[in-house]
Amino acid sequence: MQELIGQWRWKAERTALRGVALTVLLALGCSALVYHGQRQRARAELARDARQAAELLAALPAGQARPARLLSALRDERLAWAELRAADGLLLASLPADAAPAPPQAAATRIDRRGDLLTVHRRLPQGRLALAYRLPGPWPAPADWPALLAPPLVALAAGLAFFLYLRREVRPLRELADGLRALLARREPARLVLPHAGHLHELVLRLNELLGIVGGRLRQLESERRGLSTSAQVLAYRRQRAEAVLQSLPDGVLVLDETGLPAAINGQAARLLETAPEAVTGQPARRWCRQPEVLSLLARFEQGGAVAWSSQQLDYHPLQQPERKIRLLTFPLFSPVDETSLLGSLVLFRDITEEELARTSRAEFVAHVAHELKSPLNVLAMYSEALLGEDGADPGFRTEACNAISDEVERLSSLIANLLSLTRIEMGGLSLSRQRVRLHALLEDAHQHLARQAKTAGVRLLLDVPRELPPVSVDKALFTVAINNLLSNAIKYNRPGGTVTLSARETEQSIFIYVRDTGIGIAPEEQQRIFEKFYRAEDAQVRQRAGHGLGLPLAREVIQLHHGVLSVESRPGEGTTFIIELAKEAGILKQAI
Amino acid sequence: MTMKRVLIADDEAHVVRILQRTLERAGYQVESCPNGEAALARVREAPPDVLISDVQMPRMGGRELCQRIQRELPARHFPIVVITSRPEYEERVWSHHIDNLHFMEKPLSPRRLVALLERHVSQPASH
Repeated sequence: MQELIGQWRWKAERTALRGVALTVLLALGCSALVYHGQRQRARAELARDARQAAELLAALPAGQARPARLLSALRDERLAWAELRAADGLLLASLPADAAPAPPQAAATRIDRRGDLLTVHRRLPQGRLALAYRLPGPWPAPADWPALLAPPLVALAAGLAFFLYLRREVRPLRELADGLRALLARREPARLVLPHAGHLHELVLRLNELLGIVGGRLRQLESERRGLSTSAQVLAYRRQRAEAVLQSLPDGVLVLDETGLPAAINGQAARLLETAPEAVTGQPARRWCRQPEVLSLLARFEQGGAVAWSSQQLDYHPLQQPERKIRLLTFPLFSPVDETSLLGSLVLFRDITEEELARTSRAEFVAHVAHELKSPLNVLAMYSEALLGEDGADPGFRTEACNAISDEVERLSSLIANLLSLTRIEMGGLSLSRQRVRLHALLEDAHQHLARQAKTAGVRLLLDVPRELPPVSVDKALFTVAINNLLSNAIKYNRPGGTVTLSARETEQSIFIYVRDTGIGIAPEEQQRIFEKFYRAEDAQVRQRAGHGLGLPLAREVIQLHHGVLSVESRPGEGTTFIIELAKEAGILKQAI
Repeated sequence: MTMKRVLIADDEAHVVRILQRTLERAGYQVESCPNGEAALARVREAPPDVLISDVQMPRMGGRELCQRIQRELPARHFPIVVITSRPEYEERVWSHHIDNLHFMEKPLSPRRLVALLERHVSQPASH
């Protein structure tokens, strides 16, 4: 707009100037025409006057006046010269005296224009007369100039006045253009200030109103833009956060849109389906899904219908990992605003292999515990019933029953103690209540505790522990249970007359505790399995002895909690040695902490 | 009168001893095997008049023993008594296709076992 006004301003001035020039030219032209007309008239007048003068002189009676007087009667300032010649060409009179001679031949009256002279020739009785008059020149006489130049000058003055007036009128427009240019240079809305608004005052007022409205709208837009930009950032952040949450979920997540096509999938789901997330989004299941069960379910979603409106569940084994079990769950996604409108479906993939294993092993564990608890109870119940009956009178049977009851009570009590310790450890969060104990004293206590059992079994229990062993930092109660379990096993699975040796040695880094027996030994293939819960060797000799299969697993757990290692060396038929290795540093470090 | 033969499959020495004593007193001839495998071999050799079996045993447990007997001797006449900590579970899970199968819960009462045997072991006429 500013340029438009700028152009318009210059065009107006140029037009005005042209107008002025044209008017002046027109005035000049008019003056020239007038002058031309005057000149033509003057020439015509001159010719008439010259003829009349010649006729007048011819009409004078010859001899009435002398030729010189005759000529001198001509009083005309236009007369250039005059002469009167005799028929023979003799100059009778001339005016002025030095006038040039006329051509010799002559007719009656003849007018001849040559150069700037008009000459009249007339035959007179006295001779021939020639009168030469000055024709008016191409240029006006000085006296005529003012009259001729007045119109152009007036036109020029009027034109210039008009131009100046126009300039004055255009000035507000120029200021408007400058003001607009300044406004635009500031790149932001402001008021337009024109010192000489003139008749544009109203326009400037309206323009300022308009600028005010535009400025307000711009500020509003700017604030909306900032708001939108902030909202967009918040949205982007939320989207990233949602994406991160989706990706970090342990379950596979697939989101289907309302047409049943995948809208989003997380990495876990893509892994479980053995595909890439990019291959899934927006693509029908037959393009990327190789798992037949999943494919047929997703195909039902793509066909639409009732399947998307309720939750579905499907368990399958992945083609590549048939040993694993995946549970697929679908949930309809209803619009939060309108619960009758379905936005799509959420499909969850959960690897339930571990869950199933845990469930199975928990059930197995409970079954084992029940069995192991009921077995000693069973023996107790049967013996007590027998003792109440006729058998009670038999002294031999009573001794046998008492021994059996004592054995089973011991087994039950040890089983419960072990179960409780094991549960404490397996629940996690068990903090060892470590204390500094002298290893010699601890092992001696264990030796004494098992002495009666060893005696009953007819086994010699030997203790070979140097008194100067350094103190160790252990949970005394748990550590004692572990040692007792090892000793108890060594006695139980020994042969009558056999030996159990409890010994300890110190090296630079470690303390070793050995429980060595001369018993039935453990077959090589069973040496690792004995640390499984409830595992009992197939050997009939083992089965004859009351055991519950928790002693060794518990002992290993306890030693591992103390950052130690429990290992076994055994030769079937010769005996077994259990070795506990405790790192000295670990004990010392723990002590320091 | 021929004594009825009872075959006990149990790996617990105390249990076998007390059952043997009780059943012998009740007039049964008692044999025992420490696991299902030995018991199955003995059944093939000479089917007893009644089989008493524990569930958890080394090599072959009571469940497999019963299933093998059912498969190998579909027309057997002798009853099987299974001694278990969880009779409901065993009954629910695997007892369906096995005929003449009875469960007794641990802790076991020898007297009730004898009573059960008296009900289910056919008493052939005395010779």
